[in-house]
Amino acid sequence: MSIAFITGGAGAIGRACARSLVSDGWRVALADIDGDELQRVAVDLGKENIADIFILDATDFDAVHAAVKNTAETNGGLNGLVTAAGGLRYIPGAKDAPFTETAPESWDRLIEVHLNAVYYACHATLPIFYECGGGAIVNIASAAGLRGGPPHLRQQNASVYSAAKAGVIALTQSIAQEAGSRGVRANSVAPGRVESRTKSWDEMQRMQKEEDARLAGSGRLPPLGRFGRAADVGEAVTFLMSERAVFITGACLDVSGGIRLH
Amino acid sequence: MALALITGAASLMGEGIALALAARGWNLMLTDIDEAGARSVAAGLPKVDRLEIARMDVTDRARVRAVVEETAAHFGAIDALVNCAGGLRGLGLKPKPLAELPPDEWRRVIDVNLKGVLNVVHAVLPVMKAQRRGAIVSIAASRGLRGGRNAAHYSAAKAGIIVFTQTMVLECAEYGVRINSIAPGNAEARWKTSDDGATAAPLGRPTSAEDIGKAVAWLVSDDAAHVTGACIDVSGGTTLY
Repeated sequence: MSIAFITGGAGAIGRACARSLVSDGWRVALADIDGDELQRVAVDLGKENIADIFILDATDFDAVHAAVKNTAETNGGLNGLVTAAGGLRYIPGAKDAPFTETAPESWDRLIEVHLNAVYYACHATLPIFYECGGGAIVNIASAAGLRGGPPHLRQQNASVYSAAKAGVIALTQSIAQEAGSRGVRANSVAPGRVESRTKSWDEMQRMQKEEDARLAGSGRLPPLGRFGRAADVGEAVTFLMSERAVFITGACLDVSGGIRLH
Repeated sequence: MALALITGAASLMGEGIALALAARGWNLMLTDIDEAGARSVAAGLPKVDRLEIARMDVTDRARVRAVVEETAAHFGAIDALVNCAGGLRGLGLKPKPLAELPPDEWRRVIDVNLKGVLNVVHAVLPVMKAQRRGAIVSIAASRGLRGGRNAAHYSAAKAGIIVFTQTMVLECAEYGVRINSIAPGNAEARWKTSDDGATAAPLGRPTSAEDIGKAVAWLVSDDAAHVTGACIDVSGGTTLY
């Protein structure tokens, strides 16, 4: 049976990835900073589908390494990694301001969480994949990382976040080039505006109305006519992790409902 | 005459940029962590009206702010900013596969290449906003466009620069400031030897510092008055192969 390690496993995207991977036959090890929520997700997914859970901060290099190693040891190997830790919940004031009005100190945490932490998890996992003869990585990037785009009026206020996510895409491309000959595939996905643990689906609908009321068009929807559900991202991740994507590596799959085209 | 502030001016690419701008009549503020290196670059430049040199480590936020403030006060304006400080081997680090890359090396490359650009842009933009004009060019890399073997950290940082540049377009445009990036590939550097295989580029030769200097000179000039948010590939076609 295939085992996947998921960072940010208690977040909306992380748990959607877990749910989708489980229904595709994977067992999952979940890591998250929020222990209570992690327990709930584990119960929800069913004990038999959980390889392990770890309460940790994805920016703790040593903790991530220990958890990944532990997962591989207790489960006889490791085949997958999904890095879904991120979001702006733990970085007050980091978003929603023009770059010149942000405090440089806020960038450190922003880059640590969204870019460096992805390296930590990949760095912990790759040697184990090499020992196991291969594996699949999917890093959660963002449509913001594909271009300084849309909705442009919002991304303007998320320039460092966008830069970090662009870094995730290039990091993934680098791994694809380095590790391909050793049976490792590495891809990323780029969600657009999607529900999260801090922004529920209902809240997003309200937000869109408010934005449109404030500035016509600023809350506009992607071409597919709705915001993203976490499950949309989970399905894309599961596809990239699966044998169905056996010849796909270095890709960044846009799961934004086309919002990037605006 | 207009003033350009260059970071990483002691590097070969920084020198190429300084030469190109000096030849076009720009006044120069040359900054580098290696002040002596910046001085020797300055000694080889054609004569310009005004030129100053300052030691500046782009990861030292307080120092960056101080140098930018002094530059604005001394020259009266900062018309162009060229972010050239960065690199991997130039920092004394060796390319490594990600699985063998220690966290201190990862952070160092991100801090210098990506945060360095953020630090300097953040310090310079208020000056450009106040004068309601300016042009910013940041040196990214072809690896920022497609990733690169044994350089995941460098690739990530450079990709970050490209997208950061794009996201800054509106904020800059509001004040008449343009912001672009350049993606060199196979570029010559002081630490490179001639047998580094750089001639594999479709155009048959490595990218010279002069090539980069000319591209920068164009982007900061009025000839590029309607160009912003762009990333210009100056790699002799290497990026595609």
